[in-house]
Amino acid sequence: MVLMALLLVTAMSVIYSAHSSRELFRALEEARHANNEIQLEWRQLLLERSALAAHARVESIARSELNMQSAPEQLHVMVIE
Amino acid sequence: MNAQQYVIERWRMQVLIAVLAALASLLVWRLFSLQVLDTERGYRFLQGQGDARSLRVEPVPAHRGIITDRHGEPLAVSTPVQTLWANPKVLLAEVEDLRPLAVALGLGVDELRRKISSVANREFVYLRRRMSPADASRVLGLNVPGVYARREYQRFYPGGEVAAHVVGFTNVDDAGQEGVELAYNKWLSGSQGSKQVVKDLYGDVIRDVQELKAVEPGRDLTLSLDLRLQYVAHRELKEAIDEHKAASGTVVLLDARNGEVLAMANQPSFNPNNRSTIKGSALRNRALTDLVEPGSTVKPLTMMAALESGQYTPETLIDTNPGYIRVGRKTFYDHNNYGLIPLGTVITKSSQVGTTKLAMSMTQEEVSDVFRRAGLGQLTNIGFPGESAGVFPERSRWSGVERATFAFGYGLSVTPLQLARVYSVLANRGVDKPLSILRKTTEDKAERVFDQTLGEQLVQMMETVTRPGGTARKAAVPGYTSAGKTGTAHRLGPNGYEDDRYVGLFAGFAPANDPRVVCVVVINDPRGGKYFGGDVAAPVFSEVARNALRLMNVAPDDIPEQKVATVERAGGAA
Repeated sequence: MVLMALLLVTAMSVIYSAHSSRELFRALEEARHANNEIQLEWRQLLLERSALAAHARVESIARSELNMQSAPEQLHVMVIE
Repeated sequence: MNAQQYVIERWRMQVLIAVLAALASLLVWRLFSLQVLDTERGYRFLQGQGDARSLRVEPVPAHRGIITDRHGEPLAVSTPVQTLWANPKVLLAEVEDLRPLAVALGLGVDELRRKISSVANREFVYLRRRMSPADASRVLGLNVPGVYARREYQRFYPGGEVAAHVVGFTNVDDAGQEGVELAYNKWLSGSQGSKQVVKDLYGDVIRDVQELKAVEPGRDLTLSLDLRLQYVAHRELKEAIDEHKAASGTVVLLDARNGEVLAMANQPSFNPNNRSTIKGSALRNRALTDLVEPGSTVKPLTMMAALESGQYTPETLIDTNPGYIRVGRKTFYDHNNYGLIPLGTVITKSSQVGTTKLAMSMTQEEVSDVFRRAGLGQLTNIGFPGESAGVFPERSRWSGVERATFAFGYGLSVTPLQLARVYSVLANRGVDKPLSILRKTTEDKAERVFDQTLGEQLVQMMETVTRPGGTARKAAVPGYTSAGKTGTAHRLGPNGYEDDRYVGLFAGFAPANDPRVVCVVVINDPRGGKYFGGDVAAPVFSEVARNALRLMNVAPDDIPEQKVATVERAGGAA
């Protein structure tokens, strides 16, 4: 009788633990998915930033739109310590 | 009334019970055999069949790692793109008007209809591959039945053609094909994981069951490249190639202190983001694969051999009269008759006569040994696919002409990267520091191959090259001391050396006193009239080194006195 009761208890706990492990796995997957999405978004932002800040683009905008140029040598003041 | 009872015979009841019990036990047995026993059609089979209809093993894709430059600027990034596909059966049955779908896809209505009708009895057709997520979500937003999206990954190269040869690229399956993408493919790609899921009739995942294999995401890779310097090198090289109508060219920039490659630019280049128009020849990373005869750029090595032999000191005078020298049946000429000159002036003026005399006064092994110790004839082991070790002649008998020409850089070939290594050894006064394309985190072992004092003497000779009277005034870096050597070699054609086709080189380092950068410039086949290394390659060196030193925040060490003012810093204010 005692054994029977124990059997029932363990059977129930097996069911419970299987269930909770699935729950946890699902939560883990959700978290991973979120992590994934965030990473992908970050990658896209990274690309966007580097496209906007590309040296060639910055240089051409500086030269043509903002009329900037490298300062001639005579105007350089360097502080050397 | 005869109350005779109708006696039911006992056995009839028993038979009934037995039959019912037998039927019941048959059911129990059947259940038992299906659920517990492992027969041919037992529980294993049934469970397998059930699982086969709903359980699926799904791959978990591993993201390919990001490649960045030394400051974390991205050079190669994988981002998701959407591939749209349709089930033509569903689409044709349920959708009357294809117009909104066609507009969102950017296709003509008739084109789309043809595309779908041609495979009307199939269940899969690509609508458009690799769309940007924004465009794809516009299509999916229409909620057209039978249109689905699949996520794929595409590699983007923000550096474009600037760093194309170093970074390389991947193919459609995301496997490295060239450059770092190929060399470090395993590191970058990681390994795919897998998990078990339950799917419904429509193929949607209902539930994750368990993880079978953990995904190992690709790891990121930090190169030693500095994108800013790479851009400068690329820009200056491109300008020089256009100006001198040259066929191709290479710039290699090294950090003199630890052998890291800061920039490696080649022309012609290609755009790795749009590979439809690439020519095979543009793909080559010429800095590692193409062989050039180094010409006079190896004269400092001959000079080092002369210093090592003990026959010469920097004060020794060399008689270069009468401006030419006969060796065997060949005559080698200087541009002018320099007369009686100190040893260092042989380098300053790049004198063929002087170099020939030095080579003739030594054994070939003494000279070859110095060349070998400087790294010629060996791979740089930078870890790139397809690197060439150059051509280093090893023969038992050397004729006089062979010895002389070897001493001024003919009869052997090197890659631009090997030449950069030689100059890194010279810049470090004889210490060979292993080259690296990855950012170094630890100091690895450097090896002394030449004597420090001799190295110092040699650098002093090479400093005169960029000063007034030297062959490469245009290589001078404003504000800094610099040292180097020009080279001009005839190109090898099918019939030996071609008279009117050249390779112009300059190799050097700056600042000369405490070198921070080593730079090699190769301009191949300039056809714009000028072809001397001092005219075509030296200006590129000057520009690249100037920008590199400025961006690396190196204090100028060569400013005329009258331009310098000493200022006391006001107390406390910073």
